[in-house]
Amino acid sequence: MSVSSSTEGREWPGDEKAVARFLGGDPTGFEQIVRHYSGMVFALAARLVGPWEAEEVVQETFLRAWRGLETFRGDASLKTWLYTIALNRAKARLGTLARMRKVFASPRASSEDDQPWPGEEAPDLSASPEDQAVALEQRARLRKAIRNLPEEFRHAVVLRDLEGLSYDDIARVLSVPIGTVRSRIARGRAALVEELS
Amino acid sequence: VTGDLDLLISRSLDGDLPGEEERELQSLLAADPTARARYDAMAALVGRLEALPEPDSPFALATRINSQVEADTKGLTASLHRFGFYFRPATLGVVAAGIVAVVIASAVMSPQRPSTTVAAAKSPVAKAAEAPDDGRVNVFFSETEKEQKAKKDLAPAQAAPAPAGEAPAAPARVDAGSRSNDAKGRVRQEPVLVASAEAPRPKEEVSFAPERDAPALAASAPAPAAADESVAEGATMQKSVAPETTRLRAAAPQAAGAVRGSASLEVVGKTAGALRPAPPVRLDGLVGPFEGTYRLELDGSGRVTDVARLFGGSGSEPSGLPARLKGLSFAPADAARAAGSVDVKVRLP
Repeated sequence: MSVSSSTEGREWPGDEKAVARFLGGDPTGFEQIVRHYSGMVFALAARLVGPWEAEEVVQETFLRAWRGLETFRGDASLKTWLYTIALNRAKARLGTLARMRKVFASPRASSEDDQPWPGEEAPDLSASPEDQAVALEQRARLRKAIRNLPEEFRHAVVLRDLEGLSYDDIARVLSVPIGTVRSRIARGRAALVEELS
Repeated sequence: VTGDLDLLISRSLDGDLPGEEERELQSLLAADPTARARYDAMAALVGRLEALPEPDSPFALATRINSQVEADTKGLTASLHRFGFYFRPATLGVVAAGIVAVVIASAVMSPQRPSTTVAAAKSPVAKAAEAPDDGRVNVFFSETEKEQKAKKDLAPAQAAPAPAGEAPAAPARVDAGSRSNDAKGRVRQEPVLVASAEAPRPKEEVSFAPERDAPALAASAPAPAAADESVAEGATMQKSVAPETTRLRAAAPQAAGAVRGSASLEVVGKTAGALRPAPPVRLDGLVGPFEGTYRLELDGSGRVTDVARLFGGSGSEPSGLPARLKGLSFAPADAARAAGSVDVKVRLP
């Protein structure tokens, strides 16, 4: 019986049920939300601010989500809503980091884009070590090019090409018209092509 | 044109182009190698982006987040969250440190204000009573011509008090800050008592003009017994009637050979400044020169209950001095209650 209830607590019941459970005073509702979405939010945060700062962004995102879940209306998916919060937290975090780097002149900002991310492996383990090194370098170069994009283009490209969101969802997350989303994605991609060519 | 082409290519790669526009783009790409190369480059980019691996989540990320959320949403913090405030502990610490810094800075930078009491703020009489905080009341006696004559003629009768009936009204002056005798008082025929209550502020100094005030005072100082009381009354009235001028009824005439010059009583020791003798301070009629220090035991209301002379001093102690000291009281009462005793130095010139 206890195993059954434990299994129930770990299974993802869906956005509506999890939110309703939380709003009904059951803390396991929010725990389920965290368990289901924390990885996705971390991935987005890592792509926006880097893996070393991403966990801080995720923590703040879910704290804000806990506080504001009562205002979640359900007209968008919970994932889109969490992404909106995470994007704003990432922007704030980048602003803080930029100020700190200005004060302390940290060399990490310029070097972290060139490093492989934690746990990252070569794309093709059967390839020679030289090819693996080249592949890793190309990834790092691509990430650096993304990080160097203007913020509005970067957000659009990341949400579309890395997170796979639809144009409609991107428009909700960024709070812009869908035509603007199309334009930003196209211009962002074009800028990346120029950067990497 | 390139921007439009990029937009079309981008939308095409995402499957966002309607069928007709897609066909137009394909025919353009087939006809224009440059456009085709642009399409291929962008398609390759999209492929590379989609091939980027998803970052690995840190170990037990969800557990840590849940723990953090649980810790940050308890008690006051949870209530603040519910009302739309989001404070991390570090933020609260910074705010608290800022408040402490502001308080310390304001305490250091603002000048000290003189302490006051509600009674002092409300009542000028209480204000006057509180003014001389140095705990010292000096009593000055000025010699008149008649007194000087009596001094010569009635030297043996030094200790004998003058009859009350022979004491006509005479003005007394409360002169804060001035130790000199009033020259105008000398022309009068009776002894003039000049009591000085030293006040810290010059604007509270009072003066007395005998030729102006004598007629009014003459009718209200008949008896020597009332003299000391009138001194006290005058001292109380000093600042309550008018800030600059106070009338005081005549003091008693002094016996020939009584205290000459100025007799003083000064609070010394640890209670100096905290306690002061409450008027009247009756040192008239005591023969000097003498200087001695006494320890006066006080009751809860500040009245002297016991008198003990301390070691030291000079001159012979006048016989009536301990009794006079025993008749004193000290203010404020709460300070007297706290002190229990007060040391005073008496000087009789």
